[in-house]
Amino acid sequence: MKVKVLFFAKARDVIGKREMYVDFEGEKVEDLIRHIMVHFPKLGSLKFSVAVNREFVMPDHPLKDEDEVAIIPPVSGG
Amino acid sequence: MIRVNVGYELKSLDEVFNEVKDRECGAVVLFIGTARDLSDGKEVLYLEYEAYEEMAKKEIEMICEDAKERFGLRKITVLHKLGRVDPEEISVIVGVSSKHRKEGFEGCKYIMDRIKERVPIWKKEVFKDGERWVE
Repeated sequence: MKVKVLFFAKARDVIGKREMYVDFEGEKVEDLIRHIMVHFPKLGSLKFSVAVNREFVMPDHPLKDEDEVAIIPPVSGG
Repeated sequence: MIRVNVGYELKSLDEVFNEVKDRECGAVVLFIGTARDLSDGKEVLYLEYEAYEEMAKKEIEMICEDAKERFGLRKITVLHKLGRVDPEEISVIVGVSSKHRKEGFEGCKYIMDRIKERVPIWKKEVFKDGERWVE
């Protein structure tokens, strides 16, 4: 499956990119995260939530092709 | 009426006041967030905000709908700046109108608290000798 992944703030600094397409084996958010961690182990040191198509989701959320997945470090607006 | 803008350029505070004031309301509450020049005793040169803009707007709109219902607010405007914000400058404005002041104060605080808790906006403090994302 292929999804678009967005990285913000500290996550972007760690990954070195704002967005990328990721092709991975699996069906759920947790499968995608595991895949990304293999290539970018530093992400493991960060706390983050995940949003799919602009909504916060849990790790067992199912993904489909072309979903927009965002890695959301602790927020600090205001 | 609810208006949310993430990444705005504010012209004047009157703009927000004029937008939320209402004939049926006895109160307008404006919260104005400004940048501080100290963080843990260190001098902050400026703040740099970034957002997942589409989602941030949607999340703030949901918070406003919720607050409108919960506190019986009449009109709400939320503006959040992105990019560089110097000390003393405005980073966020929440304006609400309500029949009486109690709901206005509480509703405004509720909106601001929820924004800080769950809206995908990030603040970086820039110092003379480095920078750090606030968490």
